[in-house]
Amino acid sequence: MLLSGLVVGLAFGYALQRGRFCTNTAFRDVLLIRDDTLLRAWALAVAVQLLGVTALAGGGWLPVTVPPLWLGANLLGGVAFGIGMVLAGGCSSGTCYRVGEGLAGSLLALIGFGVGIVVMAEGALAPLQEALRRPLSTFDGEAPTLPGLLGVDPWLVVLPLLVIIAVWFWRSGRSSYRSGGWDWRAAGVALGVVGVAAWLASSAAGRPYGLSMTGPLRTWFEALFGGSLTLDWGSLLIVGLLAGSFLSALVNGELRWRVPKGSRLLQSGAGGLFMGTGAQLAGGCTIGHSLTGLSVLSLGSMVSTAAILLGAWATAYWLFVRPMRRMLRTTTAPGTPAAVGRGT
Amino acid sequence: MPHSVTLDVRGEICPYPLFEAKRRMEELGSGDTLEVLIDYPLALDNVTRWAENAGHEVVSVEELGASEWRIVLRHA
Repeated sequence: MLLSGLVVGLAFGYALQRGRFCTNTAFRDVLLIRDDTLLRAWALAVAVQLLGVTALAGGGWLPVTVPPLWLGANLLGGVAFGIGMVLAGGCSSGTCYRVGEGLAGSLLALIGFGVGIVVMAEGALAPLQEALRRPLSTFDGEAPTLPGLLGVDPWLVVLPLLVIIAVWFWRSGRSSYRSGGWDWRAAGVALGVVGVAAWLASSAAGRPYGLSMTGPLRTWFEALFGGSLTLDWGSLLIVGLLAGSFLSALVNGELRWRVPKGSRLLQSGAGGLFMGTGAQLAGGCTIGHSLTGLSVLSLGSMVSTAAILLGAWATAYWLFVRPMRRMLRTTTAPGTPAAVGRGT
Repeated sequence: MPHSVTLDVRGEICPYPLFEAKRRMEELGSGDTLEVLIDYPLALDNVTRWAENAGHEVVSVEELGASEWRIVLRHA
């Protein structure tokens, strides 16, 4: 049963690499290049999981765990994670698949991520996590979900959401986005199906949750910091993910050891630290919260996702949009036609 | 006399290849060429797509090796 984690991980890694899927890129590109193609892939993956998980849970075939709502921890952790992923150039899943492709910066970000998790979970920052996680908000003794809060059947929330997503896709028209990999639709469906498979396989192995990265990475890094390693479903998922993206890059001729300049390596490592501390505090990252937690309509995951977006957009603005605007002002006299209508 | 400038963004994480290419292009004038060395497939697509959309000419895309390319762009 545990080995299914490895199999799901392999499929996850392969789909991430082929789909060039990274929530950092998806969230950032909306602001940076005004392109929502990868955001659509993400929404499609969430939609497929919403449909699958709601049907399976409603039929009593799948036990689900809802990520908790700790308002302060979700907000602060989410913002920190958002800052970190832009600095590191990849979220948790994006960082992992790029490690498989041979990016040294992403490897450093992954190490920073693991160190950040351990520092927040049981190191110097543990008191902060304890304090911010104390006010746990529950609803009828359970972690709150949107349908629970509204007191309605989950389908009454899921169906309107699916309609909104469908209308968005329908109005978007053709995308000019090319990535040399899978089309956004293929990537979204593949990731959604892998997500549902993860719920089923992981629950069968006694872990009633879907895809997540923070908990599984914590298992590995706690072991590295002197604990003992107990191989479980999640830790095997990580092994599969790294191997899957590595194999995908290898067979598609995209494997290459890539090393940026030193300052960029430091930036990636620092970004990883922010991501790890943030994800640990918030109880999940863009996978555990923004992909899996949203598929059970957890309020904690919604708050975390909003906070991640906020942190990511603020950082992308500060790092990329603002310097580019400033440069355009200095190279082009204000008011000339060239200065007008040129995006960043 | 048009300038020719080389930009090496091999090893860089996204979105730095695109960001640096834009920045370097801004410093150039009409007819100047910018040679960009890239080793990440996603960055190759991003940079050529941006150049086309911005009206610059993509003169050539040459594969140098496994996942390594030389792109030549001419400023509009």
